[in-house]
Amino acid sequence: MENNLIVIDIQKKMMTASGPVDLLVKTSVLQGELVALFGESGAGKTTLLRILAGLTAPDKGKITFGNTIWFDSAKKINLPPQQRNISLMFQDYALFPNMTIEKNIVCPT
Amino acid sequence: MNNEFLQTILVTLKLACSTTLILIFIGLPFAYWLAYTKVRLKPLIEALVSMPMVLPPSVIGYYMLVLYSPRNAFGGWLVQVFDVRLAFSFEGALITSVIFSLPFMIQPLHNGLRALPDSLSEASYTLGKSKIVTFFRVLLPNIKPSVITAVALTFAHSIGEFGVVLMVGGNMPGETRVASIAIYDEVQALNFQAANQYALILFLISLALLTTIYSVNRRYDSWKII
Repeated sequence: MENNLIVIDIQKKMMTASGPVDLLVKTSVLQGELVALFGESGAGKTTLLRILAGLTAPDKGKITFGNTIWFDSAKKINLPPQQRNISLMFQDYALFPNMTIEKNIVCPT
Repeated sequence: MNNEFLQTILVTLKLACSTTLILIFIGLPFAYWLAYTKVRLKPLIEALVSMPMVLPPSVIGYYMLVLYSPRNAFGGWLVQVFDVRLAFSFEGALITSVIFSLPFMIQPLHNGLRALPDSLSEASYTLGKSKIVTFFRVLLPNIKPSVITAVALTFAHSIGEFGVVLMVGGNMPGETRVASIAIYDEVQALNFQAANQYALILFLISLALLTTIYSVNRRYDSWKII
């Protein structure tokens, strides 16, 4: 396994209901740490999670996971979601309707 | 007479099956690309794909004849390099038929893919599945009704093709003479019994196909994604 420390320092322009907003996040997550992210709607909670998963690209900044660089705008690195060791529970669950519950669970392996 | 009837039905089925098969291979990647592309020309591409639905078959047939003509660039190149003349041949009619039935394959697939929530493919990506695996394991199984509709509509549409096949393929028995053209021919010759046979067969095949589509889609109606 890698060094389990996520370092985030990113910047992203978001379009929200109340107009364009700049999302600025600078934080790190330690190994074994349980982190809760809260804020009002439109604050960028989902956007940050999507950025971590690799589904949305930040405008600027850097994300590292241990020794692996997930995103680095200066070096033009943006690891696709498939290559990031992260899982994401979607708000709408995103269960695959064509599969049984068992297959949904086994699917990632 | 009976032999001729079978031959015509065979040509009809051959044309419709080949058209459908080719369109499955073209349609799946094309509809996927169309559903997720952010290209600016997308409305124009969509319009071009849908053109065969609004244009008279004779217009498409005419353009295809012009394209196939050995006097023009593409047709001339075909003759020079492959010694192939597409006008008034089964292959020529087949290519035209593929273009003419394109919207019937693309539109249901495109609409089906667009109706799926993005989170399905995104979830699949975060689980480490590639785009191709995601397409065949997640997207395609979840638009099964659209796939069935697309295939059945394409087949039903190309089995009943009249105008483009007549324009591009002519009316050659055993080569490009399909059932719908034969009906017209037999009626002109006041041979109503033969026309009746062809008409009944086309009617029954189309009815069976459409009934299949509607019953399959009804079965999947309760299978909506929340």
